[in-house]
Amino acid sequence: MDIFSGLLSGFQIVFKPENFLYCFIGVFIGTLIGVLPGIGPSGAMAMLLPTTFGLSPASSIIMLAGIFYGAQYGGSTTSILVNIPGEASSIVTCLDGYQMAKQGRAGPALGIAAFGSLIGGTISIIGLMFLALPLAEIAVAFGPPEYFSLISLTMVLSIYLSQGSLFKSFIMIIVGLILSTVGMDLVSGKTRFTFGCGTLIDGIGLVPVAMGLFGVSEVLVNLEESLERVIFKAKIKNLLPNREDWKKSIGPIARGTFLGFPLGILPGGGAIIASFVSYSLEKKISKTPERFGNGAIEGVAGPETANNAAAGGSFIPLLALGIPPNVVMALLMGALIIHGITPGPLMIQQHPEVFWGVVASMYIGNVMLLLLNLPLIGLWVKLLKVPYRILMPLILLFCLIGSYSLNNNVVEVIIMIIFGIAGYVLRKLEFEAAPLMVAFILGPILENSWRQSLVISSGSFFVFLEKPISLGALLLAFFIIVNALVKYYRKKKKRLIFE
Amino acid sequence: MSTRQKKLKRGLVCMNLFLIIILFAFTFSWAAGEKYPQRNIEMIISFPPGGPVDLMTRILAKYMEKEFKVPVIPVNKPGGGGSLGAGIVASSPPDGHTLSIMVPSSIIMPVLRKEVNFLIEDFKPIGQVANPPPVLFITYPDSPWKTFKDFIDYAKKNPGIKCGHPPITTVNALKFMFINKYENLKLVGVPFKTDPEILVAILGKHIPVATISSVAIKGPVEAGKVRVLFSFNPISETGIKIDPPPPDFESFFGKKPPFDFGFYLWCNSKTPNEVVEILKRTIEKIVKSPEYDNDLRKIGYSANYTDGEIFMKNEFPQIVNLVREGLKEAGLIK
Repeated sequence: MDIFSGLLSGFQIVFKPENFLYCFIGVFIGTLIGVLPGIGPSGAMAMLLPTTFGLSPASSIIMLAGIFYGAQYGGSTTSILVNIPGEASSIVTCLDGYQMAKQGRAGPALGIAAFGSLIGGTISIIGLMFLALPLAEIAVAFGPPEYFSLISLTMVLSIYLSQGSLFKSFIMIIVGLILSTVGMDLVSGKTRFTFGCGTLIDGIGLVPVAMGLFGVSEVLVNLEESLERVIFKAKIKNLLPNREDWKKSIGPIARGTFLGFPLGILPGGGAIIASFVSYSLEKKISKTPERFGNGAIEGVAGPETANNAAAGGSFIPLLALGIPPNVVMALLMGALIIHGITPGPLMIQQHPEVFWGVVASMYIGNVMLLLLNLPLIGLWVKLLKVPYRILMPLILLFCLIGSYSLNNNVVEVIIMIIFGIAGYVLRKLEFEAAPLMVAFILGPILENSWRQSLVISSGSFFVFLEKPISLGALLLAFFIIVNALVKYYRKKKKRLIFE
Repeated sequence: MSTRQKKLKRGLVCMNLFLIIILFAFTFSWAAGEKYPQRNIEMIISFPPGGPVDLMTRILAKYMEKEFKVPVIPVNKPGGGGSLGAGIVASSPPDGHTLSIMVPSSIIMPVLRKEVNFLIEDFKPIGQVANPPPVLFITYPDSPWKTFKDFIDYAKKNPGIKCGHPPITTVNALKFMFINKYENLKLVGVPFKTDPEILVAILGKHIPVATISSVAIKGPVEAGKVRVLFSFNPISETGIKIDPPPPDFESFFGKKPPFDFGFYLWCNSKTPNEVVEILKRTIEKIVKSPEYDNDLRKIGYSANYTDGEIFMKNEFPQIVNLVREGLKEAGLIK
């Protein structure tokens, strides 16, 4: 079956009333859980999984997939409004999205996030249709050495994320790496830095740390402000991005799409890496990098597009190879298996109705999401007019509930509070949380791939230089470091001359 | 009668009434104690949503709900490599309303490693609910080894072949360690966090061979992207059709696999015998029904019932010794 007749049959499946309804239910639930911090798409999908047993395979996968990409839409909402990332892939959105909200521009931020998501999501579905099979081969080319080099490159790029002193962001990266070593060591099976606490055996949870560092610390900082002060200016200029915003955002959206899609294919945190890389890229090529971190719309448009494009890309390894690249895809794989469908290279031939049904539903779902989210923007923006004395305790409450509902574990609430206080102290000392977060997320992948590579090569370090992809990534990282050093040196020289 | 006396009398009447009510409540709950279940049953899942144990628990819960006519609620309590969920069962009220599906090593391993404050004696198995997780030994399709014998001959002459496996503390990794040790293959293990990562490493030829759960690779095997050299359990248990079938442990080595155990449903060991009996009868009925087996086969597993008491007497002590041996081998205990 060629692509167009396949897609046509897919649309026929989606436009059956019941499938249309399930698609809507999926994206609606997805939006809700994306907005509520803590309850992630995997939790919601697991809860709804048994209800899909009675449905046809196509309907149930359409609904479950809707929850996933719907949550990617909703995840940015809390990042922008209250500085709490609803999803790990929306952490970068906090940096500029929240600043925009503070300046009374929450509407354009939410709007550009929604439009960017639509564009990134839709283009990645087109990519999924045409390139699923060849791209799946690329995913397989990434072994441990390639991962190590790619992550090294991302870490180097992430230094550009930092606003302030280079030295301070280095310290934050080191702290993040140290925190990421907590838990069971993959190679030896020994536990590190757990201090007899069962929860820590699996490492410190990502979401409690992010909620603490970004959300709780924000509440604590605001406690210092006097009650009368209203940070969110009552005058909200406009709800949708204006022409100026669009002009600034169109480049980041295009780049975010083409960056996010291939990165989403890679197993392990593709969407998160994509959002970080997109942000640092936009900042790097911007003529006015100092605007980043102070409410630059490019810093919202790029990462939000990239993570949605990556979400589309992450379907490829599952549908084309039977490899789930993240937890959500693993759940989707479970759902497929329960319906007697084996994800893998034969799936498109054996069950065309499921593959094309899901692809077509994603076109429809993305449009539904935009229609669902645009009218909500007005409502969300009004939320910011809620007085601080009510809003701040509510945010704290949401963080507490959210961090508990992740794994139904009280220890994670305590972890969140500890990181909230730590985040407050760091802010006071003008250390930034973003580099810490990058290192904390990527640390385990970096360490594991490093050790796996060396086991595979029987201890030879040349393994990182022998593989072309790995060599390329390392060279690029090296070039960036040299470039940064040269710039730093020149700046210093200039200053010396000036003085 | 003075008002004071009246008040006293009224107070006494009230107190009597109160006592009678309490007494009633007691007798009521006494009578209800015979009846099980009295309220919702919680099924603790020690892993995040989506994994095999999660799916298996949700299937069993669906059948239990039909039999017991109360809500049976699966609760994910991941953490501590599965020991957090076990700890919840150990410290739950011993009334049979908190249950969990676990492989025996999930209880034995953290206890031997002294990572938890529960004991092996805190648990009682109700019965087996599924066969052991099927594990395969795989390579890429154009690898030089056509059969398991080819591979073993090669491996014995060329020590140091890299073999991917799941984290060292999982049952599947222990299986790899045992076969490596007893057959003196001198393979070097490369641990991966999840099965999909192992599959990527095989498909991309980053490692030559790997030990992996059959559930994760049904699609690639059927599409000819992966060659199965060996199956620890008979291949018929995995639901994958391969022609000719690869050898399993018993047919290849001529003995029972040394390290093999299924999934059991566990409760707190202080649970009254009457409750355990009711649970046993119901679970046996469910597990032996063809519909339940059919549902398990959809997720790549199969049903098998063994009585919990018989298991504890005949097999459990041996499993404890094997886990201890495996942990010593990995250098995790002395």
